[in-house]
Amino acid sequence: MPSQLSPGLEKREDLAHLVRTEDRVLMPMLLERSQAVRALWDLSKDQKNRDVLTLLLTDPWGSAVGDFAPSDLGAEGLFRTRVTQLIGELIMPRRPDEPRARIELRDAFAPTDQLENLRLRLGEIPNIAQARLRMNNQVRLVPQRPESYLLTDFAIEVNTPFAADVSKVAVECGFQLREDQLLIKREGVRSALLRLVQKHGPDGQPKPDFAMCFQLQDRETIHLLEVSKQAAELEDGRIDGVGFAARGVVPQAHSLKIYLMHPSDLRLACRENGDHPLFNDLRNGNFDFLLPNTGIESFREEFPDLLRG
Amino acid sequence: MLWEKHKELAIALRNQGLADCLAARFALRPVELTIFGQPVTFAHLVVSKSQQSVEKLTKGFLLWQSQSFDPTKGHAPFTELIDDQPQNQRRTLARLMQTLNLANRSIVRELKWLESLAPTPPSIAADQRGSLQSLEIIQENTEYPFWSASQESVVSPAQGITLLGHGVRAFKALRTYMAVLSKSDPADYCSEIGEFLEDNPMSTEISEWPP
Repeated sequence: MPSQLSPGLEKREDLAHLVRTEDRVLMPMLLERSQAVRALWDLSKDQKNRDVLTLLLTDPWGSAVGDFAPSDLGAEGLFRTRVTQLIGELIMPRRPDEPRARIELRDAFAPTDQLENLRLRLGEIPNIAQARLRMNNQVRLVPQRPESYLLTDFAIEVNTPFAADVSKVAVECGFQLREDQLLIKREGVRSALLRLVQKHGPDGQPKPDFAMCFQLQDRETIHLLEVSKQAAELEDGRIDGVGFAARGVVPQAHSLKIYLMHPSDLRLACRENGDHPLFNDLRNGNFDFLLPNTGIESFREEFPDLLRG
Repeated sequence: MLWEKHKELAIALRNQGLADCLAARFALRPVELTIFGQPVTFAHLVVSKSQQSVEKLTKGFLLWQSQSFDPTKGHAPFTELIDDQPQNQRRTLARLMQTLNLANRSIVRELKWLESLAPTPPSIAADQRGSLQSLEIIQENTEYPFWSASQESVVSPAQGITLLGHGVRAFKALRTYMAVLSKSDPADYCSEIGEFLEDNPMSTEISEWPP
């Protein structure tokens, strides 16, 4: 499907032709990422009355928007780079100065029209484009209930000022907010994890320079990242966890999954494996910092790229 | 050397490791057998199959991640660190052991104990190779006769390896390792180990199996 042009842009035949020509670059890049992504071009003027072409990318889970000068569209290398950045933003919103909120919804069977209604109602929230909304869920079709989808791990991430409105819309559309406490917030969990990571080093294991939990929405498994200069350096760009039964180590959790990484490997993984939930969580504040006691600032200094987004 | 379709090969290795696990569990049972009047058990079989299961699961784990890993070399990856493998495999295994130790230090220790029971030729200094060798240098293992210090004689594995002393401990080490792998990454390789454990409850009680 070609990109769509706004009525204002359609009227400017020279620019409309330019945009349509760029579809040969744009559409293959988008389709490589997702069959569901849509592209909409609009035309406006900047303060100096110059033409500005705005590209809006949307898919069912998020959106990204970027401005282009008409000359940007003729330069294929530059255009490709900008589109790549936008696709990255579509995958994971990245604005460090915008605190994010995660609204979790209970697993539910939802017919198509209920989902569509949710999307429509979310779209009616004033200035929703500024919310940088992103929906996460896993959709399954259950043969016994063909009229509905089973939605699990359903969450909507938005910029914090929009959290109340989005929650309200979700409830009004028949979804229920998930209110059971995060594992990390439950009694004794955080202190047990602190005891565990503080023991490493003195007991001959790689001493963690940084330790944090991510994937906080997981109510069964604690995902614990330990970054240590003493860890074996793999240079493979992967983030692999090793899972344990949590019994006797972390109360209330079913499993404990430890991701031990050398700092260099963490940087490399961010470059090569940027879709991993760890980096999405870091950018969206969905983590709980354990070590060092000096707090997140020391981590930010060591890994400015990871939190900058 | 690079392996064609290394992930398929890794899965086949993993599944053979799971078959070894079933064989080990099958052998963890009471039997009334004798050889020349000496009672024997299947304990050496439990231990050797447990060790082979760990070996194959680990080699599959490494091969899944890198097609340059050579699973035909060495039989005791946790002990030998597969010295003749490329550096990245040694590092992968080193980090796996480091991570295993973070939450449960006994796992690696038990796996190394299990590997110590794999048959290995006695170590003889080069200048001693033509000399008469004492039987005491033959280490305890699951396949060949070995020197038992307590009995001060050569014994066969069937006599010296016991179900309660070795078999249960070996099978527990395997079961713990499988439980860890089943919750680990990469999920495409590891998660089916969890399904295997759900389908086949792995009690260490010495009993007929399947129940």
